[in-house]
Amino acid sequence: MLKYNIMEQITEFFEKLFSVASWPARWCCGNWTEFHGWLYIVSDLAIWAAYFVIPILLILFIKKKPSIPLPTVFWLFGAFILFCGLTHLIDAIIFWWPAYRLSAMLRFITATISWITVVAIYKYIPVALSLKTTKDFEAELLERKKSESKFMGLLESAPDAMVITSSDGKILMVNAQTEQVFGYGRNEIIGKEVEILVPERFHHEHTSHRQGYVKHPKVRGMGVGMDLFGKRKDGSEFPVEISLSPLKIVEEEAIIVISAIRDITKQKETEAQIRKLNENLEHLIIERTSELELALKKEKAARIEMDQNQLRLTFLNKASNMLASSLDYSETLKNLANMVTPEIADWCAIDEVEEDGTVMRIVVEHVDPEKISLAYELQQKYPSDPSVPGGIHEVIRTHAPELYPCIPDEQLESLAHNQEHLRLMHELGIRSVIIVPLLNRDKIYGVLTLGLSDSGRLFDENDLEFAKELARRASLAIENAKLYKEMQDSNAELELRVAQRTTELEAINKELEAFSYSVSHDLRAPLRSIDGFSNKILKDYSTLFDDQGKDYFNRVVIASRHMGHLIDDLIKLARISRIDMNKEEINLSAMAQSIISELKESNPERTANIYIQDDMIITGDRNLLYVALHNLLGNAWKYSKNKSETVIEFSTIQKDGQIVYFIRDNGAGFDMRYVDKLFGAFQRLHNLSEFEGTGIGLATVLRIIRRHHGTIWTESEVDKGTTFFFTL
Amino acid sequence: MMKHSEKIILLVEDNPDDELLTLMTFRDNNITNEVIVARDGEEALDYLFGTGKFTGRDMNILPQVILLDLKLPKIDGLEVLQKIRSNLITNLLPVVILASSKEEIDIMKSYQLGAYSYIRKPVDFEQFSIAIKQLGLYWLVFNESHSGIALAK
Repeated sequence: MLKYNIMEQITEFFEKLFSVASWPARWCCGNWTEFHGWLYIVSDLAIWAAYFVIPILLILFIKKKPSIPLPTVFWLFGAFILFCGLTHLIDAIIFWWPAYRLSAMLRFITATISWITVVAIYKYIPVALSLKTTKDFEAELLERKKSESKFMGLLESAPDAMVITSSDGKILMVNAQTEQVFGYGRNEIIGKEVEILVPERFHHEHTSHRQGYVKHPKVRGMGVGMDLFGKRKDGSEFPVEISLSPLKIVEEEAIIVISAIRDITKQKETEAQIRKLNENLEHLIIERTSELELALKKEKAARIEMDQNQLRLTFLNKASNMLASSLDYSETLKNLANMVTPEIADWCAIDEVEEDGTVMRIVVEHVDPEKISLAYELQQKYPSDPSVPGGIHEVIRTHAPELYPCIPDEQLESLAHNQEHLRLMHELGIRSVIIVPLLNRDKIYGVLTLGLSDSGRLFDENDLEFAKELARRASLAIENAKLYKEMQDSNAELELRVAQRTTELEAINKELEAFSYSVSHDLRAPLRSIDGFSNKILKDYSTLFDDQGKDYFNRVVIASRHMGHLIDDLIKLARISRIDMNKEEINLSAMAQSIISELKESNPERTANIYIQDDMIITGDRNLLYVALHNLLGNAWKYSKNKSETVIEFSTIQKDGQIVYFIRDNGAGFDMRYVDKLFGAFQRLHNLSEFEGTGIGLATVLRIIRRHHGTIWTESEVDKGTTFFFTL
Repeated sequence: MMKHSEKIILLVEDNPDDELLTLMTFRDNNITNEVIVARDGEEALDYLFGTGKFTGRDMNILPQVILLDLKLPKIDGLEVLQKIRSNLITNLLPVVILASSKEEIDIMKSYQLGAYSYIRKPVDFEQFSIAIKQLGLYWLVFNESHSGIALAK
């Protein structure tokens, strides 16, 4: 047996695997009884048969129950039993066919599988230990059923439609809400693809999303930010909101997806409503905003206008001051044009209307000084035609201001005489024009023309009003200047005349002085002779005359002396009008007292009752008032000399709010018929033999009172007395 | 008498009536001094300075008093007075103004120019007579012992 080495043995073994040549059939080895042998054989066959059936049953079992745990072990176990059976079969066959080498091979394979199975079983023991028993399963099942029914309860009571799908999108479970929302019975949709609940147009998209979700499952909303729609059984669609949550099923190693679907038709409607409200609101806001903007715009415009008005007012005041500052009106108008030009207009022209009606441009101003000459050139070359309606001549004719807010090019073209004329007008810039007359009491002095070139600004009604006001003030200034000039002229003439008169008066005054001087000298000299020689005759030659002759000479003497007095008084009277007044405060009462004392002294034999009011104080010339009071009191004294008691009152009364002084006596009085003669020089109402006097006293008093701007009048009654009233 | 006659009165008067009345008044009042009458201002000055028709007169003889009217032909009284005062020979002679004017300006100027007195000739002859009498007494009688130079002191 041992003559072969191992490799030869192995090679020979496999070459003669099915050879039976070197071995006897078992029946031929030993002493097999029939029984023994057949028992052996039959038992082996029976074992083999059983061991053959077991794996088949196992495979069937596994096939029938794929969820069976540890299938590998089952497979190994099946193989192990099958090979065990084969060893038994070969044992039985060997009784007739001694294939011992095959038998060994079979046994080796069986052994190998057996040990693999042992290892496998060993390895799976912990797993097998963890495998639940049926009881466990039953308990678990119960638990499961409980939790499932709980879950189902939750599912059913969920307010949303709950759709549970498998990872491949098959509907596994739905709740009553789902039936209600989608209109399907649950049996109609369970097992169907979830897309049944999705409008067709989203199917493709939905499928890919769903598959994507299964790969990265997590709790989230579906289609965030998108409008989702469900589809009812009847095909109608409705907006939905879906939240997804994955649920891992342990046993199935798969996930199911729970979708909570909410019909948000109402919400959408509300949203739409809100949106609509919002839109309305927004619309309102926009409307209000635009209204506000409009109001703001208006307010701004008003403010601008106000500012402009303010500016204009300031300008007008400035202009007025300027206009009033000079009386040279052509200079004034030039200043005006200068003022107006940058601030109000781009250019300004002032034309003067002469007395004979000719129109002369006296000043032109332009923002661009170079264009001033242009304006003159235009005026010279193309003087405005008086017969053409509109323009300065029309304004001069009608006195009505004109406003041309915007002169279109065509109009300029129609006005132009030729291309050069048009060019000049364009260069000057005649886009917007105001022409206002310079008027005063319907007399037109000229016209003020304001112009705007193409600066974008145009004149409007406000500007016209402003220009009218400006023109009104300018006209007034012109009128004033003219009046002033006239006044100056007439003043100068007047002054000349006054000077002439003064000179004349001075000459007359001088003559008068010379006259009174010569009167005092020359008229008196002959009187002296008359008096002197008459006296001499009476003295030295009295024996030559009888009494009558002497009487005549006496009369000559008296007459010449009276004439001397007359001359003296006359000179006094002349002097009163001539001398300068020297005003001071005078106490008339005191002055009257001293005069009365003097009078009393001159006639101490007379009884007198004199009343003089205290403190009559006035302002006047002391000397003159003394003369006046002396005359008046002297008269009162003189004309009451025949009364047994002289009564004189010097006092005041109030008349028409004025103090009236009066001097009253109880003397001879006079007939009021002759009152007019009273204050005339040399006028006497009594004869000399009754009351001496020259008739100049009251004329003197009148002059003194008049020089004090006062008046004097009298009341008298014959034999009752006289009252002189005077004011000062 | 000689003394008296030495005391010459120079009367400067253009009105013959006034001259006569003045002389009569002198006589009535026993003023017997020699009276030289000059009928205008020129004549008065000629006498005083020995000029004109008075050329060569004894210049040692000067009037005791000069009665000077203001309103005079040729040279008026105030000018005569001024000349008298501006000449060394005559500047101390007493001059009495005898005028018909009572104008303040005449009175003032007269005194300013050195008149000794100002008498207004009144219309009333009696008063005139009284005035002349007093004048003569004062200048010719009471002041007899005074020379012009003494008076000037």
